[in-house]
Amino acid sequence: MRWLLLLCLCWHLTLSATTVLVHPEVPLDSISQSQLRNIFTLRQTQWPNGTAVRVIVLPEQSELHQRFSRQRLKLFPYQLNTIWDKHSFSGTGVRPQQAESMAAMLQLLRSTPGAIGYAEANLPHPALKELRVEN
Amino acid sequence: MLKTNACSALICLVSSLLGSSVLAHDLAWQGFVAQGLISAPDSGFVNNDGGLSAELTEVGLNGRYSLSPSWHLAGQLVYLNGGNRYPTGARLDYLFLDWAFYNSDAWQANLYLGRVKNQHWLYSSTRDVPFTRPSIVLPQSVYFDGFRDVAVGSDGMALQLRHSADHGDLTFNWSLGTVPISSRQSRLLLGHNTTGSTDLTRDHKASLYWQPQLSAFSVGLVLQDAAFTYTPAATELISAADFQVQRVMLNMRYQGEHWELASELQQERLQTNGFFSPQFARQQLGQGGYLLAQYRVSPAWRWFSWLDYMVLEKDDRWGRAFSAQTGGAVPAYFAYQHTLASGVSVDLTARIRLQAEIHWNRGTARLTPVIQPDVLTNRREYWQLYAMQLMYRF
Repeated sequence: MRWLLLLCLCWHLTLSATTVLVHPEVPLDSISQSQLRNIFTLRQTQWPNGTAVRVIVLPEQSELHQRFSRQRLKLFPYQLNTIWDKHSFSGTGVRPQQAESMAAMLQLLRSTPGAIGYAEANLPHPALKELRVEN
Repeated sequence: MLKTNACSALICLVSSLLGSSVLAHDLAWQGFVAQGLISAPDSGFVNNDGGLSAELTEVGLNGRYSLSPSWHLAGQLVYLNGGNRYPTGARLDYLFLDWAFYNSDAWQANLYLGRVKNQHWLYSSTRDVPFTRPSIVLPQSVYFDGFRDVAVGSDGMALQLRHSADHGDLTFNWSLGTVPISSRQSRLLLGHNTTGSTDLTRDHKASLYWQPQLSAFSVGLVLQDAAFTYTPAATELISAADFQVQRVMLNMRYQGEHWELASELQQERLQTNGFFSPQFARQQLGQGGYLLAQYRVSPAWRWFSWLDYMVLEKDDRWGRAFSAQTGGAVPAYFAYQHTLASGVSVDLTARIRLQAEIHWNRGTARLTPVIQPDVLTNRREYWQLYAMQLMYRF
């Protein structure tokens, strides 16, 4: 019974986990949590090779966006929105590009050099690179 | 002179960058339209008759053009109508060249040249953008509308340094510039009957923010030093004047899942030399600040309330000496303004928001004009403000 519960828990965690995906030419294999947060809050705008970071997100009301924001960035979605508004309306940055669906997210990640986004951990993502997030 | 040099340098830099063939091109743009109804009976905050008014219009269009990963050009045009709160009309809100001269995972540094926004206070950089501020009318102790055009930004340069490490995130902002002051703005600040010209000769600000790693709290310290001159018209009885404003501000913010708290506390020294007579000299040490609470009832609904306090002179909090200096011509309540405000906002769609609020005020120190108060229009110590605004972003 205990094993069954553990199995269910692992299955649930796998399902609810999110993964960070980037365009295959992004010159990184792993990223720190702090760096991930800096990228999604528009502080870090360039990859180590000098190319521009292009952040792709799902709509704010998307359950996956909310989960990614809380789990990976440790930010509530409204905080992200506030930061993006502050940058974009004062000229110091541009709001991330919004993908209307997961399929559109994957397509944008594949077609946009320097792109970074997210997906469910168990979602197949051909032609994209998965970044390992280190604490 | 500084403004002319900064603009010339900006044009030269943009021209040379646009001429380069190695640069990628990328333009992002967006905007907003907001219209509301506002009423502040018994005061001249919006209009002189205190009636219901539609003078609550804010329209903006901005764009950011990426010349390369390190070079960007950003600008925003706004049209504002706030009645007596600030001059009505269109203005170039900002137009600057942004050079990200260092950008790594731990350090980022940007230099901004041109007409830059005030990035130093919590809501200063987007105070005209209805979606980004907590209330339609911000706490006047810090965000004094009569001073809006002067405080919103400056022509010159700004620097931003950011650092992330185990201790958290540090952000340092520095700016130096000047601000063109229109004759309407000058009359709003100094007095309805003034006809001379006001110049801001120096606006120097610096701020430091710290957010402990993954913390819901952040704190900041802001310093400002600004100098103005007033040159009277030949027909005026007013004397030439110099004004110096020095402000120290502490701010803090907490962002929880439902609750958000913010506070900015400031002390401001205003040195006046001249104006009322060539020998006139006065130093005021004003204090003020607000405490704001917001509660997100749901992703769409938000409630807020704030308490705002300000006095022109910390040693004369109820204005007795202030009024006595004018022989009683200016009531004591022109030396302070305390406000309790509360309101709600609802996001009707992802692009449309409706917001409504009430302010209960005691005192009129933040009603324009400041140097020569309008005692005929602002006849009540206690007055209220009601506002409702519909906002659309695109």
